[in-house]
Amino acid sequence: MTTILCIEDEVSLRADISEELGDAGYNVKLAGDGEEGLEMILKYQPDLVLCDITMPKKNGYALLSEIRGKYPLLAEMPFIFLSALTDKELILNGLKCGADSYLTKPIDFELLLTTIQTSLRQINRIKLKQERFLVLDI
Amino acid sequence: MIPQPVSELRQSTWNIQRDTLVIFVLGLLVAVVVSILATIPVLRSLTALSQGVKQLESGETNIQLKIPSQFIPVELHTLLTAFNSMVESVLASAKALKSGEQQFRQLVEGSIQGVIIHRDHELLFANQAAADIHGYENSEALLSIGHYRDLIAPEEFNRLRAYKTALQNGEFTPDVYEVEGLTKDGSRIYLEIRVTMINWLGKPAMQNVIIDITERKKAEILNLRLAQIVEDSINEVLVFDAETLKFLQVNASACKNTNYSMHELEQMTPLDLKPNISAEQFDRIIAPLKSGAEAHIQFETIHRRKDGSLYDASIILQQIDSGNRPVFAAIIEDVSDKNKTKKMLTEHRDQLQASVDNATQELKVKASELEEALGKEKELNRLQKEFVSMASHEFRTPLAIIDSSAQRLKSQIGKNNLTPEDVARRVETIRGAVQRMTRLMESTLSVARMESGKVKTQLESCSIAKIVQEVCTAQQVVATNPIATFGLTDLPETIQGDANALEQVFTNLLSNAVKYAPDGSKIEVTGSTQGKHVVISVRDHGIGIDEEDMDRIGERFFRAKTSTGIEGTGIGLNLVKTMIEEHGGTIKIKSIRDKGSTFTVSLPILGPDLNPQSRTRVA
Repeated sequence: MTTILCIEDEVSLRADISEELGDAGYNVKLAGDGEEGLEMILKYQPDLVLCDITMPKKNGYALLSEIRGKYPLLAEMPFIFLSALTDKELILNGLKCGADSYLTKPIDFELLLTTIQTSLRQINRIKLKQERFLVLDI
Repeated sequence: MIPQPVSELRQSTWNIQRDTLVIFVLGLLVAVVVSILATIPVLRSLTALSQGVKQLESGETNIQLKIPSQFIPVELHTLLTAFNSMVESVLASAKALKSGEQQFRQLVEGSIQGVIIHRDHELLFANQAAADIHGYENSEALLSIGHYRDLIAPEEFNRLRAYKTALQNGEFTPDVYEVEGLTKDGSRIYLEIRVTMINWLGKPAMQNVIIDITERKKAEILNLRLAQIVEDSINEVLVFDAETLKFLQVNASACKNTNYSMHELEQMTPLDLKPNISAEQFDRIIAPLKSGAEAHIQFETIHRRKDGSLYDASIILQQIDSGNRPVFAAIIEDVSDKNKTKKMLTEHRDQLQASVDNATQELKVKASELEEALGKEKELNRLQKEFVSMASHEFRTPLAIIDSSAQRLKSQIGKNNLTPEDVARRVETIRGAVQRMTRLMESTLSVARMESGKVKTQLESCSIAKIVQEVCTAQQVVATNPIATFGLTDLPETIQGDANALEQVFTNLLSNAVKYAPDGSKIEVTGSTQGKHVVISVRDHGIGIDEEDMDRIGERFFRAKTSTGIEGTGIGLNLVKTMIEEHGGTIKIKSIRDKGSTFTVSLPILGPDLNPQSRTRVA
């Protein structure tokens, strides 16, 4: 079962996203701030992370930079920003930190699910390719 | 005896007559022959003598007559001998004369002085030195020009002629005189000529001994010119004795400037002109000159004229080598005007400098004001941009909550598993988000109101305790934090204030305390009276503020780093600050990160001073 971690400090929003992803058949883990988010990532190694940017304790940029910089084994983990920050520079900043997608609030759940599926499909292709290479190597 | 015949007698007489005649004729014949024989040598000697005289006359000196030893009279012999000895003595004296002339020539040829001998300006003799002086190759070339006038400058010729006349007349003439001479190429030279009258080959002639004094003369002219320059100089030039200090020589300007006559000055010393310099001081001034440590000394002092008036004197002193005793020369310039001008210029310059400095200072102030204004403007721009960005974020967050709730409702309706509790919960969420948006809108609008200067405090008597208590009660409804109040009842019954504004102030402070203490820790509100002020503090135990952010807390749109992730606009505290200032009060903030913050408001009980400027805030 595909595990998705949602890091969001707004309680009601976090709950709605969790319900929506659960309805879509994903295993959902939740975190309320950046530090908790990092702990959960390391603990569960989710297949995909959905993350707010403006959060207490550790913001989204810092969290993603830390993951991309310190944990090379998590390099292939898709990371999607979900933020109310809509300035172009801030979106670019998020992508440069290493996000695969950047979605803005308010969230259209259909768009959210499609983006998640696309990211997962891509990562699956890459994994398949790597497995083929592994077979050939043997 | 008897007479003889007469015939016989006659015969005999004749016979006697004839014999006598014969004897006479014979005797005459003998006498003639003898006298002829005796005359020949005499005649020959006489002829030779007359020839010798003629030869002597023609200048020949090598003549010796033969003297016959016999048949000539003694007188003739003496004459011939005398002639011969005379010729010999002439020969000897001619020889002597010739060797004398050679000696003379040798003498004058070797001389470094030029010698020219002339008679009535017709050149008779010149030596090599004379030729050299006048620029001719040799004395022959010089002599070939023939006339003295070509050796003397035309204007000098009359003088020369007069001199010669005086000399000839035995009148007084100087031994030596100076003329301007000419060289072969026509250039002028200065000559010193010593003239003597001599006997040249038997006739009087002029002997000129010439010395070329051109160099000396040029130096003299230069010296004269220098002396004239010194004399004519507008600078005072005074020469004084190094020991007695008495003036030895002064120029015209020195007399003119000091009003003293030359004679008066010669009785004076430099000290008499220098009222501000004592003898000891002057000794000290000239000491380095005396010791040779300095070649010259320059200083400025005051000089006093004969009439007592003063002038600024710039003085250059130097020691002059004048042979036997050391003297000093002072060159003095009256620099009164110069100093006056200099002073004026300096003053003018200083004034200019001052005004330039002032202008520069003003410009600097303006520039820094501008820079500050620009900085403020930039900062405001940055803050506004941040505000827009933040406002966008803050509006989007409740919108996202509303939207997601709506989307969930929609999808749940479709699946028919919607319970009334679910609906109620979502509606509450939506309403909460709407309230949040309303607060945001109010806050944003209050900024707009502040900007347009519409915030005006209406001061009237109001109960500060009541206002604070009501705000606390209202906040307690929405907050999980326990809110405790202390000392509110001890506050003065009323203060001069705007009740609405004060309500906003404490609502902001209390809601902040709740917002930034998300752990639900207690909030303490304390009131007290301090002199003419009421002091109300709001203390929380929340996230606190970083020390580096403390200075900027209260700036519009500024939000502390610790506030990240907590809804807010950076407007509330700015609004609080403005309103408290409208009341003539102050707000102080103490905070420690993760320990909490205390906001202390001090308000004057009687309202602000009656200063119209503080009554109304102008945005």
